[in-house]
Amino acid sequence: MTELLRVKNLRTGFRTENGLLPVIHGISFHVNQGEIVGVVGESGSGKSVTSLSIMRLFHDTPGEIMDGEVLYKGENLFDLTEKRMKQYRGNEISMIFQEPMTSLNPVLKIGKQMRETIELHLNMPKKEAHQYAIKTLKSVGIPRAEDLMDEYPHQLSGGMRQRVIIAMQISCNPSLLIADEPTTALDVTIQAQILNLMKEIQVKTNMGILFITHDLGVVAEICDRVIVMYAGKIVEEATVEELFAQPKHPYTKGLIESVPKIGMKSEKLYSIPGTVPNPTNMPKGCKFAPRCEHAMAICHKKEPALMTVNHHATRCWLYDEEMMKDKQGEGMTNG
Amino acid sequence: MGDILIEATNIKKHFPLKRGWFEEKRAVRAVDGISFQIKKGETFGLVGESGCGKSTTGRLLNGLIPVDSGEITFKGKDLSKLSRKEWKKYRQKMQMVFQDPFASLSPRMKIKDILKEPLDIHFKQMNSKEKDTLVMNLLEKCGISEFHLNKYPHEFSGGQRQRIGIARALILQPDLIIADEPVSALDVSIQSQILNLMKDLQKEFDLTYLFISHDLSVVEHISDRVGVMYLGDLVEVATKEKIFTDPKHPYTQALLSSIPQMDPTVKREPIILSGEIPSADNPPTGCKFHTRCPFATDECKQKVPDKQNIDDDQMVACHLYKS
Repeated sequence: MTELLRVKNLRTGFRTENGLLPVIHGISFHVNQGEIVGVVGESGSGKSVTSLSIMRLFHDTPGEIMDGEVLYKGENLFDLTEKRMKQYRGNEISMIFQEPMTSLNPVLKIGKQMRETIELHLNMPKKEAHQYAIKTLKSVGIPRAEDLMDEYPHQLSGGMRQRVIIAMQISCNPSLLIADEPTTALDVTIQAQILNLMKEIQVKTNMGILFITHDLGVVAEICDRVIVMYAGKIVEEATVEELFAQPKHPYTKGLIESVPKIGMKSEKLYSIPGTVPNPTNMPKGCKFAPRCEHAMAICHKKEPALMTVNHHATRCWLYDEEMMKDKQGEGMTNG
Repeated sequence: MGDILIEATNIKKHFPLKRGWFEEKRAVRAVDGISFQIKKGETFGLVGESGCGKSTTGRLLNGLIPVDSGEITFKGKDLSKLSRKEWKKYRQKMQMVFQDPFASLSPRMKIKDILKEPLDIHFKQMNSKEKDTLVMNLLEKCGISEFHLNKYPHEFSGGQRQRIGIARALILQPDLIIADEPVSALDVSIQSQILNLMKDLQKEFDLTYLFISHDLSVVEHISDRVGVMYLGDLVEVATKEKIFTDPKHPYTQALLSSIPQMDPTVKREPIILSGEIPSADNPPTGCKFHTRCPFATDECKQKVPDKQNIDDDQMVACHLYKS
C-alpha cells in the first residue's frame, strides 16, 4: 500500500492574550491509499484542529502551526507557498465539513458553484464543465441532477446538500479526502445513505479518507484503522477490529462502554468521571490520569509514551512492560 | 405503575404558513392527530427524525403551545378546559428539560437564583431559609456541590449545566418531566453520567418521564415504552422490548437497521430508505411513509392506515397488518 499522508509530530496552538496556547501536542500518524482512517475523540480533543492544520486553513483564526511536518506524497505541505498550497487543496486533498450549509454559497445556484470548482481546478471550458458537473451529481445518487443545477442551496434538504458537497469534493479526483463529522448533522436514515455512498466512492476511486467523528458506531461501520485522541494527543491507534475487540487505553474502554447498546440489559451505564481538562490548565503527567480509575503514582508525574505492540499503539503506563515488572516486583517484596 | 398519568387523544397542531392573497392556505402539519398514554412511574420514549413533530408533541403536553384540536388529560383532568390560574397549578406538576443547556439557563442569574425563582412563584408560603435548604439538597442530589451556588451558568461545563437544568425542573416536585433531547448536545462520556442521574432521580422521586430523542440507543436504554413518529403521525407504539426486537412498522424497521453498530465484525445489511423525508407542509397522501416504504402498495397511496392493536401493548399504523 502506498502512503499518501504522513503527519509527523504536529503541534498546533491558538494565539491568546497570554501567548500561544498549544492544543495539539505533537501527534504523528499516516493514511495509506485506499484506506479509511478514523479519528475519534470528544469535543476539545483536537480532532478538527488536526484536520485544519493539515489543510493549513487558519486564515483569520487564532490558530497557528507551531511545529511538525505534514508529508503528502513525500512533500512537506508546510514548506509550500500559499499559492502552491491552493493547488493542492481540491485537486489533491479535499475536505467535507459537518454542516453542508456553511460550505455552500447561499446566493449562488448549485450549478454555478459546481462549475466554478471544476473550471478552476480542471481547467475545463464552461460547457464541458456543466456536463461534467451533472455527471458527478448523478454519480452521488442525485436523481434530478439537471434541475438541481438551477436551484439554490436552501431549496435542498440536509442530506441532499451533503451529497452536493461530496460531489463537489470528488469532482476534481482528489487522492485524499478529509471528512470532518460529515454525517453528524444528518438523521440516521440519511446518515446510512451517505455512509454507504462514501464507501462506494472510496472503493471506486481508491482514495484515502481521514474520517473525523465522535460517533463510535460510525467508526465501526466505515473505518479500517482508528486513532483515538484525548486532550490534543493520540492515546490509542489500532485496526478497527482490534480496537473494538481489545481496546487497551482506559479512555478508549470507557468511551466504548459509555455508549448505550441496543439489547444491552443493564440498569446503569458506565460513565467516565469528571470532564475533559481545560487546555489552559492541563494536568501533569498523563492527561487522562485525573479521570482514570487505574491511575498509579507515576501517571500523575510522568506522561507515558505511545508504545506499539503488533501495530496496536497505546499511551498508557499500564502497558509499559518495565513498569509492570517493577510493580509486580514491588508487590512481591511487599508480600 | 399502571395508573395513567397523562393521556393525549387525537391531538393536532398545524402551523400556518404565510402565503400570498390568492394562494391556497397551507400549514405545516407538525402533529397530525396522535393519541397515546403515559403511565405513572414509567418512561415513555418518543423517537423520530428531525421534523417529525416530537418536540411539538412535548410542548403541547406541557401547554407551552395550545392544541388545535384533541384532548389532553393529566391526572384525569382535561387541560384544555383549565383557566389560567388552574394551569399554573398543573404546570408545576409537569416540568421540562431542554436540549441546549447553554440556551435554557439565564446567563445573568446565579445558580442559586435560577433554582429559587420557581419557588418564589409557586411556593410563596416558604421562607427564604427553607428555600435555600431545598435548593442545596436538590443540587447535591444532581451532583453539583454547595460550593457552586453563587456561580453563573457560563462557569459550568455542558454536563454540569444539564445537571442544573434537571435540578430546576425538579425543584417544584413535579410528577411528569418532559425531557426534549436532554443528552443530545453532550459528549458520550457525559451523556452516560446524565442518563444515570435521570434514572436515579426517577427512582428516588417516583417520576414519570416523557423522553424525546432522535437517538434510538439512548431511548432503548432509558424507556419502558416507545412511540415512533413520522411526519406528524405516531406510526408505532409498543413496549421497548417489542419495538427493539420485533418492530412491525417498516419505518421502525428501517430506523433500527440504520443505527451504526459498534461491532466491526458484524456485516449488517441496513435497509437503506430511498429518497428524502417529505416536507410536512405537503405530506404524501394515504400512508405518509409510502414514498419511501419498500412494501408500499396502491392501497397505501390512497388510504390512511388505521391504528391497529396487534397486542395489548403494541399499536401499529400500517396496511400490512390488517386483521
